[in-house]
Amino acid sequence: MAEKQIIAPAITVSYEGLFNVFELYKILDEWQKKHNYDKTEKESIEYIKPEGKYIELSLEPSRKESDYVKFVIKIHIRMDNIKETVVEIDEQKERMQEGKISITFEGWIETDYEEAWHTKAGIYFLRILVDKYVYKLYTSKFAEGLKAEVNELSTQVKSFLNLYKY
Amino acid sequence: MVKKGGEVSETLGEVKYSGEFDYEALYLTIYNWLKKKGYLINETYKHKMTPSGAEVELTFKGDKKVTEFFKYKIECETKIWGLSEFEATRHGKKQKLNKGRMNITLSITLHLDYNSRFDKSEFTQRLFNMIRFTLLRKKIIIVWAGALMAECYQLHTEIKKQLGMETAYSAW
Repeated sequence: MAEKQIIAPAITVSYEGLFNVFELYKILDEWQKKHNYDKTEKESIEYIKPEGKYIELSLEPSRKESDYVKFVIKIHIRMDNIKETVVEIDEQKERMQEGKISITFEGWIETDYEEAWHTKAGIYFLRILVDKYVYKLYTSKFAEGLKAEVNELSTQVKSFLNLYKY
Repeated sequence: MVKKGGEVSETLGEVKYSGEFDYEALYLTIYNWLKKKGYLINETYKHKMTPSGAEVELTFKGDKKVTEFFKYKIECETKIWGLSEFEATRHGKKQKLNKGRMNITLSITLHLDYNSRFDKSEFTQRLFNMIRFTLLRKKIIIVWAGALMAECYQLHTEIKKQLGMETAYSAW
């Protein structure tokens, strides 16, 4: 199995009020494309309930940095009591949603994702040693880049949700 | 005996939905999309009545030969629980709609050497593995499997659109 290491610990963004679910999803999707991440949508849930919609998404976009290192951003979105509403923006009616939302972002580095070092037990052991003492310097340079990207994405989402506050 | 690494498979993701939908339109969306993209479709259907409504399992297996060396496979597995029908008025027209809870799983397979041309001897099988894991390794994963994945995400978005899900969008 590939070795996984958390680099950017969970950043949670919570919000309650007016927002646009479609626009929020669009921002996340376009950010992934712009930053050359491969799309992975593990789960996409939408339940229509009497008190409003329940939406849950588990996204895991990933980007191969080298043959050995891969970035994975885990995004977990939970929306509850989502109700349809129409608001007037610049004298134009716009369909929006109202409800609770919570988004968690985590940055992970996956090493040896192609499992090239998993052929024999001896090689696997050697890989652990190399990972710990040699590749540590190599992988640590990637960590800063991933942290910055997770921060950028979470800030973009925060800014988007803050727009609707006023 | 040499183990031939002839397939690259991946489960794309699961769509879970509960509420109102148009079952017939959903069926046509999946079927027409696969047909439009040139897939040969193999369909299986299971239907069981329960006190809470019908339980339906519908699986589409799409198969498309891309070159002489590889082909694409897409599997769309649909499971519906508590399926019932009701009449509703949409855009001023009376229409039959459905209610229920469903899980849709999409998975892809890149099938290499589907004609088994490299299965003739142990030497050719070893040769195949050498080509697959060295010379063509990146092309297989990034270009061929990547293109299949992007294509399947289009279907994923079409399904979400048909169900009227809020997150029906794809930048790819």
